[in-house]
Amino acid sequence: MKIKSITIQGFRGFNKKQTIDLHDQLTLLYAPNSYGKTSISEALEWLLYGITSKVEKALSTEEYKGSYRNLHLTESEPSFVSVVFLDKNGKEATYMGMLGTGDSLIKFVDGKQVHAWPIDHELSKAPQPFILQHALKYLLLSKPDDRFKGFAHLLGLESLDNFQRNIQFLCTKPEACLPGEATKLLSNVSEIEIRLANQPKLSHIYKEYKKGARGLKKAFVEIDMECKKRLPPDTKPKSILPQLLQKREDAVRKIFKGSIILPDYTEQEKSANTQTEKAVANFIDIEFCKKYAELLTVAATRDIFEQIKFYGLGIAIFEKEPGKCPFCKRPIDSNLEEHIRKHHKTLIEEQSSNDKLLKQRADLKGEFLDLKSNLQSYQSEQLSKSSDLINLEESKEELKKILVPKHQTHFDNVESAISAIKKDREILAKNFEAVVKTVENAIQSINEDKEDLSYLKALSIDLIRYVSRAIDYAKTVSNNTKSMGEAEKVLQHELDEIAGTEDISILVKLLENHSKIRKGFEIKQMLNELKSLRITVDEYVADRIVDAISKELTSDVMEWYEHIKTTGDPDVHFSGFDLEKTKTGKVKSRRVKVKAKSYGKELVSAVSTLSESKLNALGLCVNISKNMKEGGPFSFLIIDDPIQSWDADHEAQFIDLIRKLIERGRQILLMSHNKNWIKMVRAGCRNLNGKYFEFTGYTKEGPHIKEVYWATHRERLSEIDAILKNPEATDVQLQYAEEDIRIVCSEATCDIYFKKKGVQKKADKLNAEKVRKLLLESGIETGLVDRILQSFVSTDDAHHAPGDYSPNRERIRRHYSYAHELVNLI
Amino acid sequence: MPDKTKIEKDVESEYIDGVLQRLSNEIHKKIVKEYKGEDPVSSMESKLGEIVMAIVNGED
Repeated sequence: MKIKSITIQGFRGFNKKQTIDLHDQLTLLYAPNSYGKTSISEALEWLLYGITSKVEKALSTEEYKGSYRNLHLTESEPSFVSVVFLDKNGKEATYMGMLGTGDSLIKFVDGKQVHAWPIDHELSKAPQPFILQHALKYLLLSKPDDRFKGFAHLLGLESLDNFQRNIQFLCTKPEACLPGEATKLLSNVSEIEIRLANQPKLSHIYKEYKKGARGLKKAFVEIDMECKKRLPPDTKPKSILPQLLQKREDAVRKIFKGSIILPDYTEQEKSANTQTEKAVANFIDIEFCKKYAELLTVAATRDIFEQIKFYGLGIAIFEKEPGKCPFCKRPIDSNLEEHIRKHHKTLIEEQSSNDKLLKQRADLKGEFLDLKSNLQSYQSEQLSKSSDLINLEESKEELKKILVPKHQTHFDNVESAISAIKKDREILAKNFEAVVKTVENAIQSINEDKEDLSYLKALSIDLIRYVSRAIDYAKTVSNNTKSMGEAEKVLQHELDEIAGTEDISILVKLLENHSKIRKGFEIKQMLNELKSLRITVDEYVADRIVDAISKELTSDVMEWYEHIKTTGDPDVHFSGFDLEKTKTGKVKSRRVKVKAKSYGKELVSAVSTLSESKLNALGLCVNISKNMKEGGPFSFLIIDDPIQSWDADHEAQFIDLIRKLIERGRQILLMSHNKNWIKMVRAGCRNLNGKYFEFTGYTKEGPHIKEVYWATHRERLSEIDAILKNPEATDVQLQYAEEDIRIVCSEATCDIYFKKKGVQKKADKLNAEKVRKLLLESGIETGLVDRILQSFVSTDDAHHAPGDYSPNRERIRRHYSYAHELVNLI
Repeated sequence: MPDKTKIEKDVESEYIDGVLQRLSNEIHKKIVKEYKGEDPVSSMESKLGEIVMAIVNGED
């Protein structure tokens, strides 16, 4: 794919819509710094990849948010970049990217919105067709790891780079990603190890212990012997641990009886508490309220039962003496009797629904009782959690004597924990009392048929309040468990010191944790062995990278470096890529070495020995070589300001390199802030007759872009003259002269027309017919117009020579004089 | 770009196979085989955690 034209509106430095038509081979663009030149390469990068490399590599992407849209673009105007691409058959496709919200890219192809570019599948594999200053710097002058990443990216080996970094991350600090239970186990094991290391009486055990898994068996034989030394000779193996514990306990309890105990909630306890708290807080829901409200009718229908009895008795008497009043024996009519029977039936039906309510009442009462019972067990469990610590308050003074002044902080922690928990316990107890009382009131309301919704309201408030206090209390407990655990360890240690039982204490710990120690050693060994996984991956990656950079990349880069390698200065030059090695020849992980040689001798590094100019040239060659590899959809290359800090030799050499790139089929868009160098490029590539644009100014409308002729009319005419005067000029040179005459005539026509009409025409769009029209409209006499048009006879409308074309020196000389005549009119 | 993801995954599996061929430690093989999915580091960490927990919960 080549680029036919680029149109930009409201993107980066561009405000007003502007279109730049590119030459098929070489387009040059000169602009002083900050005139918006780089906005062109950024516009293309953004269009193709949705992000510019500047933003991609930025340390803070926040700073670049919203920076694509030109600040001065009218709010109603869209910001967009549109590029007309040409495929190898010359078929056009217009890719337009509209800037959406959040700097998003909305894609259109030939006016139709699309989700992806048709070339998206190739984009990820192909090198980006941009050679930008900051990219070169990033690659060579960055820190070793960043340079490695840069090369991996350049070689399309980012996945390998990520793979290695991820494995390194895992193998360097594997402890960081272990489950909590395993971390705790390892911490216990290392705690025992520290205590053992500091106990001289048990140094022979430590000697074996620190060998890890392989010394563990012998360590436990020694432990067993040490335990027996401290116990009566007839002690059975099973009794060793209990007797040691007892021995230590007896000695320590003589000094202090209490312990600093505040266990944290287990996961199971936490989950059970949450469940109870939810159930309690949600006890009174809409359904419950409805059922309770229904009970209000029970009291009103309490006399139904008496009425049933009364009517029932009457009916029973009817059965004996039908047709008579059961009370006064007077005859009654059948209607009245029927009425009594019906009423009795209705009353029984009513009683049946009343029975349901009575059952409901019993159920609700049961629920209230369950609630009360749940609250009581929950409260008791909560308080028991901190009971031991609270009980310690009584022996606080004794504790102080043991811990202070050496462990003042721990003592202070204990004191403040007791105070905070005590306060929360009191609040909790008060709230508990209140909520239980409210539950009892509600139960009483049912018992006495005095149901009232206000009981439920009060209970609902008290339940939520209680749960909230209980959560606060649990938080206070949890916040102090760690410091209390530490204080307890310190206390036990001090007690061991005073009682002289530290060795027994350690032996107890070793025996108690035999299995955990074995598992801990196994885990440690496994984690330690991850180093060898890292080494294997490092070696694999090194082999892959060395292969890629020292062979293919080195030879590719060298090919291009040779083109711009200067010969007039000291012989200090790039000599290839490799990975750094240690003195023993081992490859260092993730260290790309840029090699350099001076008069045949290898230098430490190209980065530290090459001049900035040569480093810049090298970086450029690296990028070019990747771009010139086969594959990928692009046949163009955007080169932005390549010659910064270059010396004159490199500047000149680079022009040859550009010609080489064009010879290999690349379309080049070359941008620079150096006008003189651009002039040199034009001179060096004179025969290409490319396009040249100058940014002549910059306002809030954007850059002022002017297309300038590749060569002046006089320059062209003088070159044509030189060819014509050269008797050995080849057919190709003569053909070139003939084409140049046409260019002079077209450009001169545009100049004359502009002078007369004030309208700028594009010389490369003109053919014979258009030249005639413009010249006649400009008032040029018909004779000269006819003579000028003769120079177009040897080409067709598409500027291609006819099949039977052959250069004719006389004809060219004649056309040259006509062109001269026209130029003289300007 | 879905194709990019696929290409990266193919390349990744090539690396994994390459490394697996060089490994003899079965635990290391298990961990490297877990290098997959959206977050390969988490997958490997989970596998490592699983292996460690098998030791923690193993016979006393």
